[in-house]
Amino acid sequence: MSFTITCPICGERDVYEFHFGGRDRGPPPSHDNLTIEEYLRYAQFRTTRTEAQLEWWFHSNGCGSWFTTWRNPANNREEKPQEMSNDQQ
Amino acid sequence: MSAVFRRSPIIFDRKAVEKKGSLGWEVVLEFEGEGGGPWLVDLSHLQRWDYQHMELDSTAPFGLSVPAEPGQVFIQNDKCIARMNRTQAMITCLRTGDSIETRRAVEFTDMTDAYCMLAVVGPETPCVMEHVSNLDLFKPGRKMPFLTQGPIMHIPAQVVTLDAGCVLMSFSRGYGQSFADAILHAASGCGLRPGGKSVFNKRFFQKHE
Amino acid sequence: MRARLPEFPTQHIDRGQEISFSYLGKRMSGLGGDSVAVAMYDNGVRIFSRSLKYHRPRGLYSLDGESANTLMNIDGIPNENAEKRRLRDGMEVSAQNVRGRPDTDFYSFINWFDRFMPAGFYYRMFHRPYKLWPFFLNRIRKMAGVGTLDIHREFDDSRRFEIFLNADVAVIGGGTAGMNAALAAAGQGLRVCLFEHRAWLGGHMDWRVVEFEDEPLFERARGLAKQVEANTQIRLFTQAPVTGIWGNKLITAYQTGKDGEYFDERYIECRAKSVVVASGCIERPLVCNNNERPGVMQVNTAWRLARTYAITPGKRIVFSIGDDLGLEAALDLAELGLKVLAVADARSDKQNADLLTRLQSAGIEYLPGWAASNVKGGKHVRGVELSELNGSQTCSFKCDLLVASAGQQAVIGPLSTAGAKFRYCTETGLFQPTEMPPKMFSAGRMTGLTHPGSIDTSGTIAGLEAAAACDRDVSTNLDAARRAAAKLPGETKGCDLVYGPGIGAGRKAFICFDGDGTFKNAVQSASQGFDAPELAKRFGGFGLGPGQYQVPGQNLAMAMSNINGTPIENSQFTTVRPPLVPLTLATCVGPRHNIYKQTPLHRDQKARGGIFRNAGVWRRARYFSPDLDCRPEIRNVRENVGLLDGSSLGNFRIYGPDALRALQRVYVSNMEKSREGRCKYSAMCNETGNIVDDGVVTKVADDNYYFTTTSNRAGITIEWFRYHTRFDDWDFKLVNLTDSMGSINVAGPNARNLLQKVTKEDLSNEAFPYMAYKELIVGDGVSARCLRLGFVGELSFELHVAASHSQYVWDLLWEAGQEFKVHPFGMEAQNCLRAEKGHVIVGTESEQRVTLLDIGLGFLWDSNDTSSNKVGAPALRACENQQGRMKLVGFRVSESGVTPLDGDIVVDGNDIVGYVCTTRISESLDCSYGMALVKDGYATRGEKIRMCQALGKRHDEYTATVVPPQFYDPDGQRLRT
Repeated sequence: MSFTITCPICGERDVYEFHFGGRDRGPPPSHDNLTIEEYLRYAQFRTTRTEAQLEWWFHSNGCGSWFTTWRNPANNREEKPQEMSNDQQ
Repeated sequence: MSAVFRRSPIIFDRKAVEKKGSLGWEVVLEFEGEGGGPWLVDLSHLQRWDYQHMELDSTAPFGLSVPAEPGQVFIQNDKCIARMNRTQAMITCLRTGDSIETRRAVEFTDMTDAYCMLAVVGPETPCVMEHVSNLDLFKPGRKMPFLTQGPIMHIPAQVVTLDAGCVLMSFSRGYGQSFADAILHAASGCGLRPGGKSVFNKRFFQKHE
Repeated sequence: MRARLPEFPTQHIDRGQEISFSYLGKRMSGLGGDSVAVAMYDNGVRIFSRSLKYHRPRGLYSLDGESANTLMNIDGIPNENAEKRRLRDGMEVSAQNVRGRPDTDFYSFINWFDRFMPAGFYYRMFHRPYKLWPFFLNRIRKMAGVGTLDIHREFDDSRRFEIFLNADVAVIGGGTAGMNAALAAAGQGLRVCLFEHRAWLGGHMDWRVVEFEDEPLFERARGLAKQVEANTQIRLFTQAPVTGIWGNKLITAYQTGKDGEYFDERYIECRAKSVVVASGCIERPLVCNNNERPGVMQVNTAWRLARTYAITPGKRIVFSIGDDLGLEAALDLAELGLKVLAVADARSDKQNADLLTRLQSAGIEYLPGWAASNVKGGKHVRGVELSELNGSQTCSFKCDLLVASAGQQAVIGPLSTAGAKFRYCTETGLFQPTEMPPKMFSAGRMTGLTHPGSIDTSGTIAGLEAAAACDRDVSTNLDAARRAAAKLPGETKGCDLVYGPGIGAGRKAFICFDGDGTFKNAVQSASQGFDAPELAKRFGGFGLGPGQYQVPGQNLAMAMSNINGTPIENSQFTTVRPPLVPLTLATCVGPRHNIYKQTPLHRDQKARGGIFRNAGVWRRARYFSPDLDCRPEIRNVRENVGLLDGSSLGNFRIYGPDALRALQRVYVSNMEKSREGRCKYSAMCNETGNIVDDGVVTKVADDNYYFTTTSNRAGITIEWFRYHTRFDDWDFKLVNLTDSMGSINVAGPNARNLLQKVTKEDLSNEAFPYMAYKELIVGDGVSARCLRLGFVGELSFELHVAASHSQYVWDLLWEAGQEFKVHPFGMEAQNCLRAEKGHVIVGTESEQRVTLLDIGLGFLWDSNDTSSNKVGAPALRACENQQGRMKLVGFRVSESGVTPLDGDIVVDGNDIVGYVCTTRISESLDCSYGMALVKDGYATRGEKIRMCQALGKRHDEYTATVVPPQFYDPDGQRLRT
């Protein structure tokens, strides 16, 4: 495992410089009227995927910022999902 | 108050030939047997400031203009201002004894004691650095000086490449002594040895004055 | 040393430099430039080792470390490959895996018992009864020794480095394709790194004397090498085999230092933007009976012995080859005056007509459609039988050297580790990539080209493609190069011979030399159901040795598809794994730097007799006397005053209009209540309500706070704040002051008296009460933040001063403390003191199963607050009244004579119902006390719980009584006075 992550401030760097922050699932739910089931679904449940996903990374050994980037966990390449790259063309 | 009451985290196992007292520090200007370089110079006594502002571009901390892009570094007035991200810059006084008044607005934090700063000086600097870091510190075509934030020997550091023969490394002060020992060992093949502040002054101020 | 062949410019030896070395105690000599194996061969050594399983004699087969045949103990280091190690003066070489000497090995009789040792022999024979396995393991290891490790040997780690490179284009392979690729990319102004495993560039052109475009190939290659060496854009690494290509084009290699260089071996990591792989081909061994007898060698081995090292490989030579290079080698050796008796060629057609004519005029017997079928001789080749491939005719030759090869196989290792997919190409007879990873390109012989011009042009094209992948516009040059390539010959037909004629059962026809894997073993594997190459590889032990699969390589894939009767184009190459070539662990490890944090008082604490322990990233003084119970240190704090260096404590600044909102988010308490001049103690939880940090917060001014964290959390505090506010567009700034601040804790009944001597500030209980905060001026004007806290349970003041001032302030306090007989104390004393007081340490009295509430800190939580979305609050709410949780309790051991230990378990019958977090013997309480996490049914005050020592072999049970964790000064009188 020695792929790279592209930090918006520092550029492409070795993955060991970063901490993983999980797939982006949007902001945490508001605590007002929150049921424990809803909360646990947010806090505990994770889905493993083999396609490109938007992820949070923290550049802990570098500039110290949280950012999101697209990565495909199947091959560890930073690539957008097929449909998104098609949209952009 | 005794003349020397501030201490650097680093002591080089070398005899000092020339020393100078400044602002409570005892700064070694020259070590015995410095040889022809490359040198490792302890600059931990130089005053540094952290400056954070939401509208960094519209400000001029200490009258210095702030670089537009993260990673850019300006040298003005013997001070080095490096932009770290959208809202943060690091200001370093490169001259021993240079000091900025200490009571400042809330955006400033005196970081002199938070970091250990070491310079690698000499034409073999790229050789030294490739023994301790995978960072691309001498990227061709990149305008020097510039800032790289990344690990040196796995220790998070801020590295300013002043030119092809001089880099400044800043990292958490606690690592100072063991970091210095490790880099001297790792780059012993390139001939790295401790050098006094004069080594840095000669290289830097002749070039940038 | 024997007389060498006359001087010729292809040679890489220094005749002026005679090097003496010893082999098994016998003095030998070689020339500068020789490898150890070459010099041994020149001195008449023919049997280099004995094989792993059958103890068959093994000789010099290859020159680039493709098999384990020449593994030697060199200067006390086992398993050195003598083919790759350059000869140095005074080297001491000895053989491995032999009882006695390789030529008279005691175990050689085992060769006759091969029929009793089929594939999977060890797995199946010795595991029943299982109890006997250790006995057999021991015997087998002795017989199949792979060198003896000198565990006391120290490697000089200042001569084993690692270097990190950044390249635009990395080129793997320094043959003419690789060199052309490097030059093409460098011509675009790109940074190029070129890796070559041999000591010189040129690849297989380096020893070829035939002419192309009126210039001998070796001279052409050397001309190109000069250009490469002179090009400042190219960093050249010779003697640097690539060990793998990893994610996003990270190339690892290691380089052996030449004489006079500052390293013995160095590890290289090179991150490239694009990669050209021109790793070329190695020979595909001919699988026939006794195909690994000493005296059988690869074409390039015999050829290079003569052309590179000026050594006569044999007196009477027979060739059995599968490509034009074999023909060229036979002719070349004959022209050097060596006796070449016959050339069997596994191909029936597509040979180079010119070579055939020359072969004929040289009077060498040429047998197309033939191959070697059996090698005769015991310890060395004495003759060879050649047969027509259909077996219809056979003839014999007396000879001492069989040069054997079934053609070429591509070196696919580097591309394979990078994730390329391969398929056997029936045209070229090579495994070729069908799917390349992004920005990687292949060139040269591995693509099936053999024509020198085509090889060069393919390199240029790959180099330009790599440059294009680095965003250079090379379209004009690329078009020109492609047009040139179109005019040159394309791929050459390869040899598809799987095994030699008359192989029979293949009992002595070796597919793998290192593990003694025969053709018969392959058949046995298939019949046992291990029919895919990947399975046969494990079951039959093919390619698991130090040769790293280079000898069995393509042969195993082809043999398995042949045995299974499947089409050869469907044959599968087994996964190639890094390291592609073996390397010493010392080189992998490199210099063992121990980088840790020292407090600003480190030297002082050491001088005072501090005994240090690692504490996270820090190294801290744990004890100040050899008495590890720290009695004097503890007593001094309880009765007098002590000084603690607590500088590893995390310190932070947070400011900005939204600073308070950020604090509200991560701390469980209502942080609006933090006031100027006061310390507010609080804690942070994670999303599941586990406590992760505690510390104090003080308000410096509006929108401006100072807070502390535990030492372990300091490194990720900023990450934590920013993570939990990442969706909020808040304006707050954080500054990590941890290393900026030294922290000195002045603790004990005399603390105030001591501190008052160094500051004019009023420190009385009225002016500076418990949990207050003040900024003091100490000594001659050094400013210090002073926090009146009581972690150790006594009156105490925590001074936070600038790191560089810390020693000055410590000295000041020390001097002032002389009248009180002040004494330093360390982490262990602090730990005992705080445990007596019932103060928890996050991570010691808490873990992932317990929440803030379970360890008795629920009072910190502002449970009414739902608007700031405090991290972990919903989880705390959910488990507020939950049954069956673990709880933190204090306990006193009722029995005397037992010494509980941290980690002892709490038991109820056979069930474990908890464990001891911290336990110590208290002098003031005169008993063993501690804190434990237990299931809530056992947490009632006065409950008797059984504990059991979990460490070592003792299982002493003892009884303890559950008590509140505050053993010492439960009302907190001492820290409030």
